This record gives sequence, structure tokens and C-alpha cells, in this order.
Amino acid sequence: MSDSLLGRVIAGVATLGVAVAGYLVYVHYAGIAPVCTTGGCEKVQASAYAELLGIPVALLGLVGYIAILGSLAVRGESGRMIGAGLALIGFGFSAYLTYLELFKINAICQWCVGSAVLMTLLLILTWWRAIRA
Amino acid sequence: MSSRSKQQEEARAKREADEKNRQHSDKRRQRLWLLGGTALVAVVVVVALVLVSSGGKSGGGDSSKIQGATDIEAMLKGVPQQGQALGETTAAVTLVEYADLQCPFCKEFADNVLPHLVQDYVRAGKLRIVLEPLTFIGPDSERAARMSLASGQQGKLWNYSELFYRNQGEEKTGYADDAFLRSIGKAIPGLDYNKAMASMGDASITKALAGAAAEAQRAGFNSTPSFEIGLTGKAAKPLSISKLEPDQFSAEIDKLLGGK
Repeated sequence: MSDSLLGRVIAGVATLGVAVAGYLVYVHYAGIAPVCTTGGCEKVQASAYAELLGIPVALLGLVGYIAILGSLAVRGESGRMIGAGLALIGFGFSAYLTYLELFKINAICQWCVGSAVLMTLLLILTWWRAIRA
Repeated sequence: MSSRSKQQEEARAKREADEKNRQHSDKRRQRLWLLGGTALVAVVVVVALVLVSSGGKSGGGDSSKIQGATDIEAMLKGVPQQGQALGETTAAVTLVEYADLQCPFCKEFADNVLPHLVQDYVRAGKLRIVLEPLTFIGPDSERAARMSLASGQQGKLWNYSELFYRNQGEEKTGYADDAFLRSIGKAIPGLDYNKAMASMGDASITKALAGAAAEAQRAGFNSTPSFEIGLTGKAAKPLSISKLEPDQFSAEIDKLLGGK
């Protein structure tokens, strides 16, 4: 896979992430329950872990996805390193949030799981891009 | 001569290839160091995020620091209460709230909407609000609901539930223990909290909880807070709201009051 194609795939996945996190930010501020098939979204969104120092974690996710998209615009090694670093932060925090859903909040939110899957994909793609360059 | 020149050529090519390899491997090593550094920074950031997120969530609702007692007392002072109802029995409109005292959205209603409704409608004798406590989140919900209903026997259910919301802890952490429930009760002027604590297991309270759950099921509610509204004494209908803001409620109340 060429570097530019890999960059486009990363951009595509990050854009999906922006959509998911953006939706969760919207429902958070609108005070409404997210569309949910797993039954636990509202509970997860309403839990004490849904905010970090008063900032919704969905908003942190949104910023993260946008920053990963932004890193694609940075040329050379630095851009690749920034992307890889951001994806690792996103992946680590998503893993922690998934742990909270499973063991602390005892509810699963499909949107959060979706975001965690996207972050995992981004981790693989950005690190592949950084290592093989 | 030609053989010597060929040897020199080969040696140079080899040197160049070695140099290129060395540069390549230097660059690769440099990149790996850089990636290692990036990973380290990322891990530090994640650990910091996790520490911040898990910090200060030891259960909440510190029993020695009950907050908001004065505000709640001021909000409800002089407003009549009968059991689960707040406001005049003659009020034209009745709003029924189905809520779980552990639920953060219910706290949002309590913090952001209820004070406006009390000020604008309940005090004016136009609105009556009935609390139907649900207990689906967990044991803390039931204990809190029982203590609220027990306070209702003394005409203080709303004082109790509102002060509970002000001091709500994290869901399902078991914070609503006897000490916590008592400390909330203690902060409510005029409430015999020991008597209320002793009444938590009353059959009438068990019946009220079962009644609230049955009513919620009848109405098809599966999340909290949910609301029903209607003219007092007439059939109420579910009130669908998109935001927990006073306007969403006042619009419907005004419609029902029809300029009264």
C-alpha cells in the first residue's frame, strides 16, 4: 500500500471517528439519550466517567480524531510521529473507557465500542505508516 | 591495469553500498528511537488521563459535607406537601415525575428545571408535582427512595429528594448507606430523621415503590426521568421532552392552563 493510499485510509477512519464522537458530543450537550441498540448508552453517557474535569470524554475523542486528521497534513517524519502518538493515546484511553463500561458502569454503549474499534484501527494504521516509512 | 581499476571500482561500489546501508540503518534506528519516545509520551498522557478520570470518584456524597440544605429549604419553604405530592391539591395541572434518585439526568431536572417550576407555577397554586420513585439502577436507589418516601410521611419528601440530588454520589458505589441517608435527613429542618430511618421498611413504602414501578410500566417508560402531565384529576399523558430545560415544561403547562 502506498504512503498516500495509507494516508487516505487513515483519513477515512478518522473521519468516521469524528462522526461518532461528534454525535456523542451533540447528545451530551442536547441532554438527550443517544440512539441505542445495546440499551446501555444513556447509562454510560450519564455516568460519572462521561466527563473528565468537566469536559465530556466524547469531546476529547472528537478533538483526538480531528488532531489525527490534522497530523496527516504535517509532512514528513514529524507528521507520522504525531499521528502515531495521538492514536496511541486514543487507543489507551479507549481501552480504559471500555474497561469502565464492562466492569464499573456495567453497561455497553455501541457508540463507545465503535469509537474504540476505530481508534484500534487508527493505532495499527498510523504505527504501520510510521515504522515502514 | 584494467583488473586493478575494476577492483578499485568494486571497492568503491562496496564502500558506497556500506555507507548507504549504514545511513539507512542509522535512519531506521533514529526512527525507532523517535517512535519509542512517542510511545513513552503517549503512555504518560494515557496514565495521566486515567488518573484524572478515576480520581475523586471514591463514591461521592461525603456524609460530613451535605451541601445545598439552605437552598433547598428556601426553594420549598411554605409550599404544601402531601406524601409524594408538592403543591396545592387544588392546582389545575399535575406533573408526575418518574425518577431514580441515583440517576444523573434526574439530578439535572432537580437542579435546572424544578426550581423554575416551583417558583413560577407551584407557588402560584397552578401546578402540583408528584414524584414516583423508581429503583432500577441499584440498591442505593431503593434505599434513597425508601428514605424519601419515609420523609414524605412527615411532609418532607421533596426536601429529602432534592437535597439527595444536590449530594448525589456516583452510581452503584453503595454510597447511600445509613450514615449518608441520615446525614441528608439531619440537614433538613423539621424532619425527624431517626423516625424516617425507622420507617424505611414500612409496608406502605414497599407498596408505594411497587405502585411507582407499575405506573411506569403502564406508561411504557424505560428511562428516567420520565414525565406525565395532565389536568388534575383527569388522565395524564406522557410528556415528551428533548431537553431538560424549563421551557420544555412551561410550554406544556401553559397550554394546559390555557390562560388560567
